Amino acid sequence: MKGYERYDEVLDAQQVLLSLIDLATQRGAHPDKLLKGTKLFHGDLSKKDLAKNGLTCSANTLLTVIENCSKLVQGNEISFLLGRRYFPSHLGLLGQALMNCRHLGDMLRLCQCFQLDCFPLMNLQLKHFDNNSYLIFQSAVGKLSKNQQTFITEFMLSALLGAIKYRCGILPKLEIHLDYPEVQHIEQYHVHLNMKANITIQFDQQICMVTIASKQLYLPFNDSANSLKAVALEQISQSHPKPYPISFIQQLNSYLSQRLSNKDDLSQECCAQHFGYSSATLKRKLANNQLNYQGVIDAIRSQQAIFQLIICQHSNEKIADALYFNDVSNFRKAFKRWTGMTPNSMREQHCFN
Amino acid sequence: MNTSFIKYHFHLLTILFFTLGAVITCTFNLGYLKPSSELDYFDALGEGGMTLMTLVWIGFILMSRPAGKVTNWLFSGLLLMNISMLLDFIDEFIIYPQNSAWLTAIESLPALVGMVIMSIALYHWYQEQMTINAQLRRTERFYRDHSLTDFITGLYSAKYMKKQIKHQLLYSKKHNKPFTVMMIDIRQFDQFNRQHGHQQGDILLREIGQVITMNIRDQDLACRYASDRFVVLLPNSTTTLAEAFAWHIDNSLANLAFKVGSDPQANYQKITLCSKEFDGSQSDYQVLELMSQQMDSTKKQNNKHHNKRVA
Repeated sequence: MKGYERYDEVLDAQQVLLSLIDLATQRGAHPDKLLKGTKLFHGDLSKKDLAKNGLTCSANTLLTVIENCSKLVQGNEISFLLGRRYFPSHLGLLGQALMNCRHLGDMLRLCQCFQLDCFPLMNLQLKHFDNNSYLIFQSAVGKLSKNQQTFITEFMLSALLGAIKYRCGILPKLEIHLDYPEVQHIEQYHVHLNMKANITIQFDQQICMVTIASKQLYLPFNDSANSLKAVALEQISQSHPKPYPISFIQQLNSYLSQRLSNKDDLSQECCAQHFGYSSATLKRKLANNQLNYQGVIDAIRSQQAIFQLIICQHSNEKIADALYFNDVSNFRKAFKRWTGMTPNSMREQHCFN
Repeated sequence: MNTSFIKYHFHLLTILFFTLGAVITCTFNLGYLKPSSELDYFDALGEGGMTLMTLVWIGFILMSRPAGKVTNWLFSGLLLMNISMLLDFIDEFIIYPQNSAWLTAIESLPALVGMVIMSIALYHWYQEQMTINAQLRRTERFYRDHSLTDFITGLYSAKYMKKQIKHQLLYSKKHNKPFTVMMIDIRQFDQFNRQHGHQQGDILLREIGQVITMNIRDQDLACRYASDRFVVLLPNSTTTLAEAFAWHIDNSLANLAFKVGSDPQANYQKITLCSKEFDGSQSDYQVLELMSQQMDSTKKQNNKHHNKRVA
């Protein structure tokens, strides 16, 4: 099955777009200025005939509006407000299904299955180690600008925390690593994400990840109804078959991670062949997302290396071996190139924190 | 461009176009065009530019000011100046016959009258600004920057507060005078939003912000922190004073009967309030961090207290 591209109009994002624009308008921005560069007008968004079929838009449209929004509206609270309102009202049938999940882990699995409907721009990856679970965020649509990255991460975090608080009643202890430097609007993190209370947030961490105790993830909800969830899912699958469930970049990422873990050939030709493209087409497709092949592989390896280093606390030898490096010094050099610091200095920094 | 000013300055705009139209028709009726060899383009360019710029000023005045006395004075002064400049400009293209030469003689007179009127208007504007400053004094300290205001509440944003705290820290350290920061959080604001909608929530925030500013001194500063949280800076004050203020604010907010739209039902809000004294040895970042922590522990304490009472 093919994955969607940035310009494919497959995202069912009318609700999000409208509420994003409403929020920004209430804070003094002009709706048509927010939509600048998207070839859409504010009037188009709320037309009746669209409401019947739903407006689909491309990832590019959503990203452009987000960029405009960060530039036009001061205060940086929109991403948080949007996230807080997201679950369950903005998700339609999926929201109902999510409401009737057995536990948080079940909800996350559903989010992964219906990624296009809930978090089309970011990929969620769940890893377990010891007694903790780690939710790793990664862009599903290639390279993002700094504004977009911050906005989407803030949105996802506040939606996620909102959902957890809504379903569990309280916020459990969470640890959040963010891969961007500390922001100016730290007060929003204090208030919306409970930073400094039971949520610890660390900026500038090279990896974007939420840590939660596995026990908490599988704590059953008493008021969930499996039958209602099944009905909602059935209705979703009947209502509109989705041609592309996940993005091409995400497909590529998961394919490459699998190859990496099996220690298979990672060459570009081999990969292009797997997706049925020529090498040149693959290159062009990546360039559309402002990526290149080596960069994608490096990103995957660097993420895995950082995870194994700071969470699993493996030795350099073990990581080098797991990531298919010939020797440790090669790994150390590559790590320095990816993150700007040596494995040992990152380990020290992490222990210090 | 914002065109809403056309509606409430309609009469002034009519006067403007009528006057300029009258001046132009009058001059063209009285005189006749100069032959092109006699035209001094350089002079015409300068005078034309001046005419145009005063017109632009009139436009800005109308766009930025509400209707009222001061606006009328400013408008008439500028209009008279504009008439003079227009006459001067038209002069470059037209020769008047002998019996209409009076027009050139008096052409600079309106400008003088206009400037006198403008001076009076500026004096009134100054007084008006003083009144507005008095109204603003609890929401800003010594420094104005409109780009840092919060759109929802009209108070300044957390960014402005950070700057002010930075100044206050320096001052406190130097003069050895403590200051207190107070944080106010609305309880169950999410629930209010869910029940009445986010637009009403925004209005509620604005009103609560106003009530807070009513309860503080002139030298204090109230800002919106984030979401449903406000922060107040109380210079030269100790925790005891802050506690008294906290009591005042708590009391007046408890009596704020907020009405949603035209619904007569009163909505009372409860708040969580905490304050902390600083002596200038911290950084501005630490101050806000400590306040957030304090707020969280206060909330937890309140919850415990509340649960006990219920039990």
